[in-house]
Parts: sequence; structure tokens; C-alpha cells
Amino acid sequence: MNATVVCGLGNDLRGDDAAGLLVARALLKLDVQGVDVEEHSGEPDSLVAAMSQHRHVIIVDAVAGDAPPGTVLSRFWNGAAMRGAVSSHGLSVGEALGLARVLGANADVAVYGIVGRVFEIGSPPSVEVVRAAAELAVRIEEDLSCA
Amino acid sequence: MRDGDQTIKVAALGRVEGEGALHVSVKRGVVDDVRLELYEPPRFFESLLRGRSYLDPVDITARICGICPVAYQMSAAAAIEDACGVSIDGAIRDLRLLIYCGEWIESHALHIYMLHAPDFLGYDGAIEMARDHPDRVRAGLELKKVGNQVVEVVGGRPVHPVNPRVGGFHRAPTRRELEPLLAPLERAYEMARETVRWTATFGFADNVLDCELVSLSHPSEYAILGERITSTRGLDVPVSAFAEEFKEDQSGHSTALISRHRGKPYLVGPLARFVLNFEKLSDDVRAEAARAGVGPSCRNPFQTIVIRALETMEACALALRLIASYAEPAAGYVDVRPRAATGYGASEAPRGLLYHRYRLDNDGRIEQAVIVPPTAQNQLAIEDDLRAVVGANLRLPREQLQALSEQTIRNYDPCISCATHFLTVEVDEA
Repeated sequence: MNATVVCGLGNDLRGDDAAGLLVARALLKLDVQGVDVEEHSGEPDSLVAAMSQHRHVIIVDAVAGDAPPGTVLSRFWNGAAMRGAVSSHGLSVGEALGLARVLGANADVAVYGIVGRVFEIGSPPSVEVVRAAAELAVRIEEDLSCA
Repeated sequence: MRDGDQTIKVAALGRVEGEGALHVSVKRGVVDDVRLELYEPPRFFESLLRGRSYLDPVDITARICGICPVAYQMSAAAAIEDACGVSIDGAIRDLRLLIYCGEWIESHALHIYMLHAPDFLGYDGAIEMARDHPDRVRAGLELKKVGNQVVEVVGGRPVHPVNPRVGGFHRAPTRRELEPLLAPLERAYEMARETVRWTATFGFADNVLDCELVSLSHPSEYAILGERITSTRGLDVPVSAFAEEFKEDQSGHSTALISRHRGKPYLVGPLARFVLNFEKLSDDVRAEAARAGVGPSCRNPFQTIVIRALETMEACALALRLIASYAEPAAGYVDVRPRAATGYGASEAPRGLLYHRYRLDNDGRIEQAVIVPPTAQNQLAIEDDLRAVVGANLRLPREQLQALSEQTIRNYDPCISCATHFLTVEVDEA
């Protein structure tokens, strides 16, 4: 197990919600070394495990927002519980991270969000998100190579 | 606003699977209106399936829910096999039960520890509870992990498993692959027992559910892959009669179809399964139920947290038995040839009876798909229960009444992701 893990979150059947998965798969194709790459559905226990087993966690997920589709947003998570986000998984991603922290996980967490346009069931991801995911994978790979 | 009028609004219902809205209005001290509002246009998946191959629903419907994908896979496979005149038994059926046990364990553990226990202990959520009870939360996560392990070994991965297919499994696991699950499952069994004893100490609001309880039944097994639909009011029909007995319609305030049995609300899920299948539980689980003070006469939805823990015990025990007796089948699946027919299938998802119906043409193309998830069936019963709970607790301060309303909804572990997708809660005192 490596010190760093990239967790791509999403659902393949909901259009741009697959953004995190697309980044994870692109990273696997890039064959980035020394890093674990995982696909996640957003289940809290798998994120808690990722937080507990690695020193550095990079989370990539789709986000809805006013920015143009394909825009990449990034931030370092400061450990504060992120409430208000709704989730179909019982706990939101922010709550899962907060839970891991309370249980003693000390990983630093960087979060990338790709602004999506289509989230309907059965829709393919938009061209903007597909392109952004490929570019973000390269960017993460380069960042990790320099680290 | 007059005295006794109030409107309680909860903009976003937390700690349920999915999103949506609840609206309760109270006028002159009487509950005037209760509405569960489910927003997303329903039946996306049913239309997505039309025109596709009969082999597709097992993979596609698994994506309806990240918590109970196995239930969708098993109900879909059963319905399509029924249409094609194929019956699955022996080791392949045992594997289906085994993967289902994994799903029950992980789903129930998630709900008990992360979503529901905080209500009983007075916390806003699992994070706050974990600060004071970290070992409890770790235990819940460990229990859930064992369920995920079972799903992963049998299904190929822990979420949205890829190994199940029409006729069985793409590849049957070897005995050697299953045996490493024995030790974790034995540990999980004792953790589930401890969960029963822990949840039994919670304080339960007085509440008696008056509606009909409905679940599958099987001649010799606790209902998971049952064969008939039974109820506390004497219903006993084959799964194929579901559509004759249970009618769906569109409520004005919800985009989900809601179900009635002979015009009235009914309830599916752990409480119904437990009441209707109590004698099928293993001796140790029934003894633990007696010690916890719940039995087949239980009608209090608040006690379903204990029943989920008991079902987790049962799922662990069954999984252990299935692995102990497992003999690898000669092939992972039975060949299922399509034919023009309609097939019916149902299984007991963690949240209750999940019904699928497919009409195929001669080439196996899907002409019609119908999926009736548990939450859509429970919607009216939840509304009725909420009306009673709010009505009996109008003297509570607004914040407490709102919290009690949310807890009442969580008693049913609603999977709004399955029923539609977005739920929000709103209680009005106007």
C-alpha cells in the first residue's frame, strides 16, 4: 500500500457524476507509480478506510455549480465537517471525511471537483467533463511526479 | 397564525438513502396534512431498460442504489428466469443467498450505527456520536466491512457487484475463496449480538403501527428469496399475483408511484419480515430477540433498530451455514434462453420487498419493465405513522418535534434513491 491514494467518486449511469471515475481510470491508464488509485461509489466506510490507511488522500468528484461545465475546482480540506451537502449514500463525502478524522485518521486531503452539466440517469458524460477529467488526470500525475 | 397552528419545515432530510421532502402542517392543534414529497421523475430505469437485452437488467438495475444493488440484481434475475421458464436451485441459489446476506449485513450496519443510533442517543449525526462513542462507531464500520467482504468475494466487488448474471454467476467462487470469510463472519455474528443488546437499551417512544404488514415467505427459510407474498391480514399469494393485489398510482405531491393494498397503506421491511417470519429465525436469534423484548407481536416502528440488529445476526448465521455446506457447482450459471413471456420476481431487500416484472419478446428484448421498490410501497404507511407521531407530540418544542419527525422517517430506513432520487423534509405549523 502506498502513502498516497487517489479516490475517484461517482456513478457511471448518471452522466457527469462519473467524473471522478473517469479521472481514476485515466490515471490507471497513465500507469502512475507509487500511488494507489481507487474507484469509489461514495460509501462512507470505504472513504474512512482510505483516510485511515494513507497519509495523503486525493478525492475527485463531480460538483454542481455556476461555473462552466468542465471547470476544475480544488481545495485542501481543513478537517472541518462539511454539512449541508446532500447525498444518496447516507453520509455525504464531507461527513465521511469528518467521521474518519474523529476516529483518528490524520491524512491530509485534497479535493478536486469537476463541474458537471448532465446528471440524468442513463446519460453519457458531457464532452466538457470527459475532456476535463483527462486533463485533470495528467495534472495529478504531474503533481505526484514532482512531489 | 392562530394558537395551535404550526408549520414545521425540514428543508433537507438527512441520514436517509437519498433526498426528498417531508411537509407536515398543523392547524388548530390538529395535524392537517402530511406529505412525503419525492421529486425526481420516476421510472427512469424502467424506460432505460425497454428495448435492451434480457441479460442487461441485472447489471443496470444494480446501479439504482449503492446500498442494495444485490437486491435489484436478485429480483431482476428471478423475474427474467421466471419469464424464460428457468428455476435456480442448489449451489447457485445458495450463492445468491450468501451474497444477499452480505448486503443485509452492510446495509443494516450502516443504518443502525451511522444513520439511526444518533437519533436515540441524542446526537446530530454519526460524527458527533463518534466523538463520545468511537468504539461503537468503529464496531459498526467493521460490521459493515464484513458484509462488504462477502459481497466482494461472491460478487466481484463490494459495491455494484459484477459477478451476478441471469442464470447465476459469471464464475462461481471456489470453496477456498469463501473459507476466509468464516472467521470475520463468526466475529460479525458476535458483534451483531452485541448490537442487539446495545440497541435494546435505547428508549423507544410509544407507537403502534396499525397497517397491514407484508413480506415474502419461504417454507423453511427466513424470507430473503421467498416464493410467496404473505401478510398479517391473511394474504398468501404467489409473487406473480403482486400486480393484482397491489396497485400503484401517482400522488399529486410526489413523482414516485405509491402503492396500496386493496386501497390501503401497507408496510414492507424488517418489521414486517420479522413479524411474519419469526418462527424461521434460528434458535439463538429468537432467544436474543426474547432477551431484547421484541417478538412477533411487535408493532412499534422505533424498535426496528433492534430488529435490524437481529436480522444482521441471522444473516451472519446463514452465511456461515452456507459457506460450511458449500459445494462448488459444475458451472456458475444455468443457460437461460429467451422466449416471449412475462416474468415475475421478488426478493427481500434490506428495506423490504422489491418486485420486478419484465415482458420479453422472442429475441429476449425487453418490451416492458416494472420495478416496485420498498420505499415507494411504504410511503403512505410512513405518512400515516408520521401523522400519528406528530399528533401525539404537538406539545413538544418545535425543535424536538422536528427531530422526532425525522427519527420517525428514519425508522423505515427509506431508500429514496430507489423510490425516486431526491427527498427533502418540511414540517409546517401554519
